[in-house]
Amino acid sequence: MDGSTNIIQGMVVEGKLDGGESPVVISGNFSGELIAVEVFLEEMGVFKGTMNADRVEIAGDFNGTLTTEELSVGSTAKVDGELRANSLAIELGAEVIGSVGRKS
Amino acid sequence: MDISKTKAVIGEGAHFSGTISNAKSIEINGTVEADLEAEKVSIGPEGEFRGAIKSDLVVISGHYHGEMHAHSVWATETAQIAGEVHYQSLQMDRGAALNCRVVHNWTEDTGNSVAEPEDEDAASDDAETGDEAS
Repeated sequence: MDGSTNIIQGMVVEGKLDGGESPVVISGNFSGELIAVEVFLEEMGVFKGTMNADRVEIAGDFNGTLTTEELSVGSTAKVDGELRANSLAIELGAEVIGSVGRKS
Repeated sequence: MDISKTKAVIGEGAHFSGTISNAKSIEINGTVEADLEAEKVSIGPEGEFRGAIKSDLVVISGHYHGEMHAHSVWATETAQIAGEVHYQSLQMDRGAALNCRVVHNWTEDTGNSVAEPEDEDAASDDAETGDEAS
């Protein structure tokens, strides 16, 4: 993916990220605030904080508040927090704790 | 996709502020305000970095503003650097714009390990170069 932001495995990032027009791929550790058009939280990825995106795919650990148009939670995902999505898919096997609702 | 997954990148158009650690090699194509420690840092032509960098190798083709401690620094023809550059080996292409303090460290080892705080010996060895700055 050209132009995308990659937080690779082992990397620790703390702060505020605006991904711009390109996707953000997280295989490492991110804590803070993330705004992007598209986010891929990969299997090894750990996210803590607030995420705001149009489209989100979670296969890793998510902890915090998520607001998105379209959310897809994979079978390897562990999610704890508040999910706000207008379109939602959760795969069998995913661990989801918290509240799920529509994006207001 | 395989390559992009193994390479840390702050993409073009992205804005980041905070701290980045544990990245082996990182490419900055967006705007970053951070303190960064990595083996290799590359600031692309569209990249803008503000903050401290500690690294073995820094390749700059974009904007840099801050204090950099690196073993090798390569400023390409589109580089614009402000602040302070501490280096052991420096390469500058024609066109590179350096508006900064440049300090050669022949005592400090900025190799793979993080440089130790300068001890008294290093401080006295540096005295000759330090004069111009004070």
